[in-house]
Amino acid sequence: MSIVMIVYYLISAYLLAMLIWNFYRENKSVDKMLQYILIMIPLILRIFRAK
Amino acid sequence: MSRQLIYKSLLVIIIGCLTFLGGLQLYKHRHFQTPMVAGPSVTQVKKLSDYVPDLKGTMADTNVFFLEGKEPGGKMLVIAGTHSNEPAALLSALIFLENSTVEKGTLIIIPQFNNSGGRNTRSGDGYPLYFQIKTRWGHKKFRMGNRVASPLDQWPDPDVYVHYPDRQLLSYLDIRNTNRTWPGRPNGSLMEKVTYAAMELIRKENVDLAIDVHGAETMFPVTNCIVAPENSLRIATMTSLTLKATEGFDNHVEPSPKGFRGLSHREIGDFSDALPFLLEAPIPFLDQPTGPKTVDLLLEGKDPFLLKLSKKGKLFVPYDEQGWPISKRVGQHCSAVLEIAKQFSRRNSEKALKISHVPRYADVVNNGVGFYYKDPSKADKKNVFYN
Amino acid sequence: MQKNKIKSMFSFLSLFIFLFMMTGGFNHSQELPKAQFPVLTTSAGQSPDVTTLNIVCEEAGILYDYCDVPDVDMISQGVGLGGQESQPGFHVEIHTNLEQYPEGTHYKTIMFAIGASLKGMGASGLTVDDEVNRLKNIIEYCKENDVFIIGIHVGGVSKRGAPGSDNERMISAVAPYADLLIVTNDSNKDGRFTEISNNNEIPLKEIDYALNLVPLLQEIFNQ
Repeated sequence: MSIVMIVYYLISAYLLAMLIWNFYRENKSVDKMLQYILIMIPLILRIFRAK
Repeated sequence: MSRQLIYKSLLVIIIGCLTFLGGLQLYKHRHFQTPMVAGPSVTQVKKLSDYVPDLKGTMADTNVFFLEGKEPGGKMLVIAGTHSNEPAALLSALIFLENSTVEKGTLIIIPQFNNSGGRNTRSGDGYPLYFQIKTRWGHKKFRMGNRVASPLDQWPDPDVYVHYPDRQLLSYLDIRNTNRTWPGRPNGSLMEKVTYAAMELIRKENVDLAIDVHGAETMFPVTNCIVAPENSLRIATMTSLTLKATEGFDNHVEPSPKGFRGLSHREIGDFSDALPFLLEAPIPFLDQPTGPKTVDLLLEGKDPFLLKLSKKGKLFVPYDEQGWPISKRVGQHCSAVLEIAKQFSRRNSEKALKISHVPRYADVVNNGVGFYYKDPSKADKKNVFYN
Repeated sequence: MQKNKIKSMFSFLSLFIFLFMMTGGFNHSQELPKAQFPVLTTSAGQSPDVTTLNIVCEEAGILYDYCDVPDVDMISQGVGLGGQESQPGFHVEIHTNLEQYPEGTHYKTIMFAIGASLKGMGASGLTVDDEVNRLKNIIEYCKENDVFIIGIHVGGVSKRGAPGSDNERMISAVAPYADLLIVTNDSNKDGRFTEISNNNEIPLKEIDYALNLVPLLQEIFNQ
C-alpha cells in the first residue's frame, strides 16, 4: 500500500472518530443524529475494506 | 442505561439493518458470476494478469479466451465489456465465444474487459442489478454493470485525471473508465494496468485487428457507427458500405479524433501495429430524457419520450415505436466484426481470418440473442468459465 | 382527305419518335457519359463522404489525386497539385499514375463529394460562405477549361436538410453545374436531384447503395 493510501485511511479514520464523537454528544436534533450515522456508513465500510 | 443512549442505539441498529439489507443486494451483485461455455474453437483461456502480474487477485483481472484455427493466419482481438452498462457488447462477444469455429487465424475474446465495472452499478440512476435473456433452454442471467470501475477496487479518484503519457486533462471519473486509460502503464492506477495488459497482449501476440465493442446514446452523434483512425479507415469504410448494401443497416464511419486521448480507437493504433476499430450500436437506455431505467427499456429500447424527441429530429438514429431491441444491436455487432475480418482478409491473404458458425444481423434479429447461448448446466464442466 | 390526315399523323409521330430518341427521351438518367483521366477528387462541404469516395475509387482501381480544400490556383497546377503537402486542416494525396500523366497535367475530371460538415469546414478554417465561394470559383474554372464535373451525393438523408441549410447550399453550389450527377436513392428521396437534372439537362444516375459506386465509376472511367 502506498503512503498516499495510508494517509487516506488515516483521514477516514479521523473523520469517523469525529462523527462518532459528535453523534455521542448530540442530544437534541434527531435529523443530525441520522445524518451522522448515514455519513459514517461509507467511512466504516472503507476502513474495514468491506466489499 | 440513559434514555438517550437507548434511543441512539435503536437508531444505529435500525440504520445498520437497512444498510445491511441494501448492502447485501449489492454484495450479491458484485459477486454474481456469469457462466460462459467455451465453444469448439477455444484452445486456451488466459488471464489479463498473465500480461501484468499486478492484476492477479484483484477484481480487475479477467478471462482472455483464445480461439485458434488449424491454419495459421491473422489475429483479431474482440474487447467487450469496456463499459458494462452497454450489454450488447458482452452479449455479442458471448455469441462468438460459444459458437465460433475458427478455421484460419486466431480470434481472441475478452468478454468482460472492465471486470470491476461489470460488478459496479449506478443506484442513483435506478439501474437494474440484473437482466435476463430468454434462451432455448430457459433464461440466462447477467449482471448490469456501470460505465466505470467500482470505487471499491480503485480509490480515491483525483480531482482531475492527467492522462498518461500526453498529460491531457480528463474528467476525474475517467481514471476508472477503461476507454480513457489507454495505452495504460504498468505502475499506474488499476484501470491503467488493465489497458496496459491489453496493450501487452496486442504487442506480444502480434494482434492485427483490435475491435472494441460499445453502445452509445441515440441523442449522441457518435452512435450507430464504426470509429476508426487513419490506418483503419479503408477497412471501416468498406465494412460500412458492404453492410449497408448486403445487410441493409446503417453503420457510418466516424474518424478517430487525434486530439482526444485515452480511447482504444486512437491509442491502440498509436502504440502498436494493430488496426483498431470501435463499434457503436444505439442504446436508448443510456439516453438522459427517458422514463424509468427498467430492464424492458434496456432490452427493448422503447421509450415514449425518445419517440417524441425523434419526431422533433433530436435523435441521431431512425427511431420509431419498435424501439431499438437488443437483438438488433447484437446483430449489428456480429455482422460488423465478421465483415471487418472479411475486409481485412481480402487485402491480406497471408493473414486471413476464417470464422464460421457465427450468426449475422438477420439471423440474430429473427432468432433472438439467446438462441445462440449454450446451457452451462449441460456443458462439460471443464468448458464452463465464470466472469 | 382521310388519307392526308393519316399521312400527317404518321409523319408527326415519326418526327416525334425521332426527336424523342435523339434527346434520349425525358429521362436524363439513361445517359452515362464517360470521364477521362487525370481525375481530382474533392469535397463540397467537407463532410467525410469524400473519404468514402476516395476508398471507392481505390476499390474500383481508379488512380486519383485528392485535395479537400483546393483553390483555383492549386487546381490549375494540375497533377501533383503543384507540390502542395498535407498539413493540419489541409489534405493532399497524389495517387495518379505519374508515368502516364506527369506532374502538371491538367485535370480532365473533378469529382465532388457533396455534403456539409461544420466540423470539417471548421478544421480547415472555413465558414459556410467561404466554402460556397470556393466551390463557385472552382466551378467557373472547370467551365472555362472544359473540366468534366461529377457531383456525387451518397450521404443519404443525414446529408440533406431544409431549404437554405448548409447541406442544401452545397448542393446548390455544385449540382446544377455538374456534367453528371450520381446520388443514392436515399439522397434523392425528395426528388431534388431529379429536378436539378431535368432543369439543367444533366444526366442523373441513381444507385441503391454507395457501394454501387464501384462498378459505376469503373464504367464511367472505362476501367
